[in-house]
Amino acid sequence: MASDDNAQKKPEPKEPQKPKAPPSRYIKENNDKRKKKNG
Amino acid sequence: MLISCQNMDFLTHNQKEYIRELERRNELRRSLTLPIGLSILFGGAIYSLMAGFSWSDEPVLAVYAFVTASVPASVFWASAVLFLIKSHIGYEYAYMPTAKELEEYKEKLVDFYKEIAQEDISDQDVRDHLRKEYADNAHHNCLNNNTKAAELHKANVRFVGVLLFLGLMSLISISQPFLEVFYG
Repeated sequence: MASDDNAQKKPEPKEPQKPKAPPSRYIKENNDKRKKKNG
Repeated sequence: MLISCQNMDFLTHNQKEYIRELERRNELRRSLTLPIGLSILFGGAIYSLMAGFSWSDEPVLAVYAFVTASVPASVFWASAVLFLIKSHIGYEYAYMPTAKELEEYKEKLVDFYKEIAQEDISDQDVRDHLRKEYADNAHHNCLNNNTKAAELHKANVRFVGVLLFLGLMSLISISQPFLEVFYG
């Protein structure tokens, strides 16, 4: 049982995450501040 | 000839739409120059006519007529200026990610497919992302341009009103000597 617990506690190797695509930007006219889409 | 959807290159189509909306934005920006000039000219003319009108010396009828013309001229002018401001301020345009960002994204995708030992479809991923972003941004910018064009049109219509009532104000001012003779 104890060995089972230890096995469960071991962190699983992380699967590589697919890179996030660069978002478009929303820029206000008369304002140079750039704001990323979705925050 | 009918073009089937399968053969249609949506990426090219969306890209063209995006570029077209940015060109339309530039055209709308350029077309603001004339109305801004008109607003300054008309504002100055209304002020000059009102300041130059001899309110106390004129017959009552002439004063009434002048007020009847100058009030709508001023209201039209003020609303035209308001619509001009509305057509110019507060619009947020959407722009594509920069070439460098896309290049970095592509490199990360290549590394990712290598890492998971799968066939490299990074080109397709980048194309799909671009297609979607071009479509979203073209749509967003199109709505902005439509609103902008509508506000500009409203301003131009009001300038026609200003022109009409300004003409009337000028006529009343010019006819001052004749009215004096007529009314004694």
